[in-house]
Amino acid sequence: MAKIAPILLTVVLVLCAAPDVLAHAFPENSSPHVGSELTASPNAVKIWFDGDIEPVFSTLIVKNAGDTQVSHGRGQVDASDKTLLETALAGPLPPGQYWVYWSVIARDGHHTAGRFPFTVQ
Amino acid sequence: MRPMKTQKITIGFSILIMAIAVTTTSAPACAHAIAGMRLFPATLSFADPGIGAELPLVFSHINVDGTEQNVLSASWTLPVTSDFSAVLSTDYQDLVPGGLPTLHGADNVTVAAAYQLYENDNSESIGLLQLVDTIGNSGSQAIGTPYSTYTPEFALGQGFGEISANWLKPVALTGALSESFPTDSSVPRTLNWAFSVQYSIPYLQNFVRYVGLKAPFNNMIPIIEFPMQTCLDRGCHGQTTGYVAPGVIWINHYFQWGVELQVPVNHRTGNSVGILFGIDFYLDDIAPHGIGAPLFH
Repeated sequence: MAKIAPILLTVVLVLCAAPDVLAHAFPENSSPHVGSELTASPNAVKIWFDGDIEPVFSTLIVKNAGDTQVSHGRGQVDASDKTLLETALAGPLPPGQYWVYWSVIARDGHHTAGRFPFTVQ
Repeated sequence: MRPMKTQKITIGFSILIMAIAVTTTSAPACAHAIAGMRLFPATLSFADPGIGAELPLVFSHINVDGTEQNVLSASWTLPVTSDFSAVLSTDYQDLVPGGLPTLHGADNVTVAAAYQLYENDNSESIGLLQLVDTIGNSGSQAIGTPYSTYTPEFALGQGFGEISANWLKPVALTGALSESFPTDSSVPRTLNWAFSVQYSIPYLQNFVRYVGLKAPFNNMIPIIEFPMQTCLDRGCHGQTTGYVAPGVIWINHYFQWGVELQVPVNHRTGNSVGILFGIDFYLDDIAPHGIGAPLFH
């Protein structure tokens, strides 16, 4: 055990110092928040991830309850913040439930995808 | 031998404190067994349903019938292809029977071949088959056994993300079923069955509803594990032992760590509550182009 302890501590310390550009990317925050109920239409949808993502392969699409896309294009990664994926909306959203679909490739090549709802009242 | 035991507990405590410090200051998310939006953390007391490259270390302390047991187990999962992995594991045990000499040493070495049987993103389901061989005479004389044990095993995970009730979506179940076949005919066969119920706070906040939880709660998965064993023959037929293990697992970019109690399910299992502490390094995230990558693509 006495021989194992320094190895364990070293591994933990190395991991603490490791950069954030590796590993799967998952959302850390979003605007609108997941499951939120808004009193007015947002102008854009943004998701901040917990690591850098690849601009070419990352997409963000917003659809209404009828499965019609209500956002512009496939979204884009912010030029100055590689953790931010965003898309502008085609216009003010009428009341209803909307779904945000995202798919990203982290810098190390790991793929993750997900979806979440928000509602405009 | 008493100082040795104290030293082991101190080391385990030190690691616990370090992990707390790291986890409470780090970002949420990331992972191991993943099916769609569902991340199944590695359970501390039985096999998880993923075959990803990982290095779990688990320390347990419990008193069974007057014998203090301290066990540090280590395992290394090496992906061979994208759906097939090799596993190498063993443990170091320190047994302190009341009034008798302490026993300590390495247990037998275990090797396993694990195959990812299925993984469905939409239904958040994942399952594996593995064949485990605990090699006789490969451990120390004090702890290891002279016979081998072969154990075919099936493990699965199922997320509840498709259920309509929002409050149930973060729930997931995992389980494992196996039978152990010792090569010594005097040793009984056992049916090993285990399951866990887990509630993922990251899943809740990322995919269902953001409720404003910050670190350390935003990357926390409360969990209850039920590792059980039922003897199948040799005079103990039908006798079941096992634990209820409630606890919490925190997940991070590169590793997870967790703490669970071990509560015996019956007097046959024991009368004392033990503790489990585990840390699991996600090698496929730490070194995605090195030891975390499959040998063959």
